[in-house]
Amino acid sequence: MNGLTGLSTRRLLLKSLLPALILGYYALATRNHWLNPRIWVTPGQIWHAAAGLNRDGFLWLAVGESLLRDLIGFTLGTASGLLIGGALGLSRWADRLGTPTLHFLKAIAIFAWIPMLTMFFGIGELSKIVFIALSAFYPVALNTLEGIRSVPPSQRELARVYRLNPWQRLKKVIAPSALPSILTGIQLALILTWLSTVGVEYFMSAGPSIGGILLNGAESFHLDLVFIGVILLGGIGFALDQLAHGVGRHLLRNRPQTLNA
Amino acid sequence: MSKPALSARGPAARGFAARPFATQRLAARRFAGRALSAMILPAALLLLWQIASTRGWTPRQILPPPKIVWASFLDLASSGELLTHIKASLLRVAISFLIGSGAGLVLGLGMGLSRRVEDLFGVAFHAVNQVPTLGWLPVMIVVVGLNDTLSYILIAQAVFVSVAINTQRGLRQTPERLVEVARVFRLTRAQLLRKVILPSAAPQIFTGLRFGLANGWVSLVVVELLISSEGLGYLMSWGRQAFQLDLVLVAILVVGVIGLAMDAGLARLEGLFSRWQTEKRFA
Amino acid sequence: MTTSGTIDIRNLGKAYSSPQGGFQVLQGLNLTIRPGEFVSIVGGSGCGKSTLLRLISGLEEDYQGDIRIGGERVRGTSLDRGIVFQDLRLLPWLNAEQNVALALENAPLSKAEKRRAVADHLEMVGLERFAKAYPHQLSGGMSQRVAIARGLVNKPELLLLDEPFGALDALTRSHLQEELERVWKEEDITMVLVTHDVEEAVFLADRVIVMEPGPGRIRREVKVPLPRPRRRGDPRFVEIKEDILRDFSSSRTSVNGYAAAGQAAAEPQLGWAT
Repeated sequence: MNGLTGLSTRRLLLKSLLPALILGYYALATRNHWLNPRIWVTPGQIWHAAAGLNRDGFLWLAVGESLLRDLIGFTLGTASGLLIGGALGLSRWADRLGTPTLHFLKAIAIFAWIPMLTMFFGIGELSKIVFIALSAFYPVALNTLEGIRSVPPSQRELARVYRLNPWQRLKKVIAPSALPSILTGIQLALILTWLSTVGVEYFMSAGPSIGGILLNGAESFHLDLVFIGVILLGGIGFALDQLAHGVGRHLLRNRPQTLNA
Repeated sequence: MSKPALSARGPAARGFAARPFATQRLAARRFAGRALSAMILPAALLLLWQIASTRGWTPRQILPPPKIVWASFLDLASSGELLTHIKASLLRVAISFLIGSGAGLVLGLGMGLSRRVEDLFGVAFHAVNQVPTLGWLPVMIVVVGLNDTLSYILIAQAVFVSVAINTQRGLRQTPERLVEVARVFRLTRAQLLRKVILPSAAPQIFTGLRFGLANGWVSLVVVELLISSEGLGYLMSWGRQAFQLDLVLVAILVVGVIGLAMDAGLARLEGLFSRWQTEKRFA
Repeated sequence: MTTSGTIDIRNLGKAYSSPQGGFQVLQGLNLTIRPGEFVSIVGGSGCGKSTLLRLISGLEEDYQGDIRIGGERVRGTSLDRGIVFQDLRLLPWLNAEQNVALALENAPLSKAEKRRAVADHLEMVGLERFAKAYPHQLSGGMSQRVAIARGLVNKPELLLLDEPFGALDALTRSHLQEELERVWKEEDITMVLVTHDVEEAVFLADRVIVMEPGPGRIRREVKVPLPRPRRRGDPRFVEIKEDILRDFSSSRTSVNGYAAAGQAAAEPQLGWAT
């Protein structure tokens, strides 16, 4: 398939049939009050609510708060993931001692940590950042470990043949060889931290933030607010994902085949 | 027709020798070593925890000593309370998983085998996928209300997405060269499906089921933390409100153990279905 | 011998279209193959010899000209025409036995007869002990035998072989060549072998068809009137081989035993159309 141009009219019709039916039904149903009008808002109402939030400057404040929180947690989590994953990958002893525990901790559904974090650190900013960092930590640590582990023995032998010292070996052989896997981990971390940012805002009722908008909307039964939050959550998530893949492609542009297509 | 056998010469003839007993024992000993060294870090952490609580480095409500956590674990376990919560969570996940994976398989098979079905449902499906479970949660709270139905919908949805995507992808990735084999032997559409397309897609479908179950388990915790009146998530959120960290810790550990067990179970099942991939080469 | 199975190819042409424009793989090709005959087709990369096999098998149906077998125009695949692919294409999730049995899915035989036929053919290629082994557990030569057994098990009138021994070591290769000749004699079927190994072609064939690229066509035909079993050191054998190899050196390709290996990079690559 090569985009819309390659599609026949019939396929185009078929493709737009279901979305058109759903949207059409929704438009008719909200206008004619087939659905409870106190819950089901019209697209116009959503637009109106968004404009209202925007007038106060609240909308941008919320987006900014969430992104900043995400950025801090992501940076901390990625850095510690690289450190721990690197240590586990480079040292056989660290690997044997630490990797099983890491795998067990990873198996704990991430949101299960929230009650404990709030008990330790309260529901302030610290708990949120720690939680976001945690959700970046696992994918980065595991993919770094995996990337270093799967450096081909042939490349390791090459390093021995040329008698590279450990630092040269890391810089010239291991790090570049593990890079695609590490980048995969970081990409995963970027999208996961975004989800946990909004999630943790929802759980720990933050002030102006996207999670806060969702929480307010759900608690006050304002579906227009909820939809605004959902659109921001999905839209920014999509943008972050594209960004991560773009950066990954750029960094790996000279590789014959990369893991992130 | 007399057919003198081609002799299977060379390395081929050495075929299927069972793995020597000695190697098996060696493997067993290595495994024991691995398991032992794996326990060192948790043991050290436990020791640190014990010291921290006896020296009073941390207040008791924030970090109760291991003894107390162990006692509440025994208490929860012997009173049957823990089991009730585990059962509630497992049942919730099992039902949602059946619904979600069933629907995911149907849609994934449809979209993977027929362009027309993909054209019809693809756009709506991908639009729905753009919104994570966390986005659906508030929407569904408003629409369905804070009740059990909500939990089933959200968990099933998380399973559904991963199963449908991977099923479709697996079916689409059947190598053309193997489909040609089916053409050469004039297999019918049903035979092609059974002998070539489904086995070829099976690993990816299993990946979808595993991811689906893992996603479902995560969603379960989210949902139970927020709305339910029983289950492991409820146990945690109750423990937090009562400021009983021992309950929270027990629940966290159980969530981890069950998560691991489910994944290992499905991995084993996957191995059974794809022996052709996992067995070692003999020749 | 009956004449019903004669393969008659008249003025055959085949073009692929690609985003870069069309590409003529075969043009104006005429060839007649008698029932029971062993014909080898040799030629460098890109001369369309594999495409020719795919056309005869019925895997490709879009072509100019005419391919008739026993007077019938080829339409789609048929159980009367077996093919052994260059890349074997054993189904990795079926063991040796099941892979062979795949060819009998739609054969008008009872279950017991099918089991019997599968066992016979595995025995024929010397793999009865490996019936339960999966393809990834078999060596290259063993996998090759499974593929040949699968090609033969439903007793086709015609077996097409697309460089079946290309990936094997020299020893296994010459061994399997001898076995293939034996099977051909016993089963009394027509075989068409595509290869780039001139010695293999001469060793097995009644007739060697030499093809040349750009677009693919027949350069000439060489009869091999030597008694079987042939000896590779026989002066007449060597003479025929040298004669064919000269063809390649005169057609802008330096040649050793494996003709035109160095040409691969220069020729347009169309996957199977090499």
